[in-house]
Amino acid sequence: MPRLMREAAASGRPVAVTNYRSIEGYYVPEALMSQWISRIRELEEREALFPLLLGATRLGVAFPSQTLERLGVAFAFDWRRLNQFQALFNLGPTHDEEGVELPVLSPAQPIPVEEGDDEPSWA
Amino acid sequence: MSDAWYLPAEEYYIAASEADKYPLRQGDVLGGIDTPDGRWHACQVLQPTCELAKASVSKIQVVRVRPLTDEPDPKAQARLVAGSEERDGQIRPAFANTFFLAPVPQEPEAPLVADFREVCVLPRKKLPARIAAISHDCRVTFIRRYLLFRFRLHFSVEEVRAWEAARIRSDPAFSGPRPAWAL
Repeated sequence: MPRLMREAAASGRPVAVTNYRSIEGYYVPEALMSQWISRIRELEEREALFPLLLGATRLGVAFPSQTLERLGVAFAFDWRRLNQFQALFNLGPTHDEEGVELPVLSPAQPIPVEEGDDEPSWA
Repeated sequence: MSDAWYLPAEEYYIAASEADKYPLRQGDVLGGIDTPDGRWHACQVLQPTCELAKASVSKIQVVRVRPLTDEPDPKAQARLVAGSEERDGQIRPAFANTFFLAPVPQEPEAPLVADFREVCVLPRKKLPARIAAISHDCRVTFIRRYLLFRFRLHFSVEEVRAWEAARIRSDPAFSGPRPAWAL
């Protein structure tokens, strides 16, 4: 097994794990598995965007989208249409401006605090 | 519940006929001012609402409001209006330092953009006249966007609205009509 793992890691490809010529499974090197997981996540993210991008295309709205731009889909900018569209399609962000996935924060509970009326004198 | 950054344009402002019932609050749009950096087209109140009620608060923070057309590139204008964009299959905030403002009733063809980076402190006595009172729902979106800019924290509309409702309910100085979600 360790030899098989070393070979798989060196080749960067999955290797069949056999038992008397019968394949019982595959050993996938960690680097390759991570790559697959990341690709699957990317695909899932893009799948979630389809309704939004299809909506913009069908309604002719110039929603800022790298994917639509790459596909050559472009519409004249009309702020009213875009404003209505973004309000309708609930565009909450999935990532920050640099593409880092947003953290899931536990819901914050507000505790109302009444302020005093006194002020510093700022000599 | 919508998680969009911005309301539809028609839900931004209190109707002019009703505005007198609403005291000055955070997010309200005021007229133009002269600043050391030159003339600002308009400005938006940044000072927290509870501070505005205090007589001891003699200076008020406002942020710069520009016409959307100050940005000449239509693609950048679209990013300002949407408040977000799709890049690499992700929905990301666009221009997190800005808050899109629908046109005020006096200039219905001129959408505006506030820039949180440009802040001015004005003597209360020299505040320009209010040109539009924003709705309570609009204030929720304003606070949410400001939290993103100032602290890089993202919360849902629902969460920010719940906090604002709790604040309003516990504010003994609150005056004017209450939103339905804070009765």
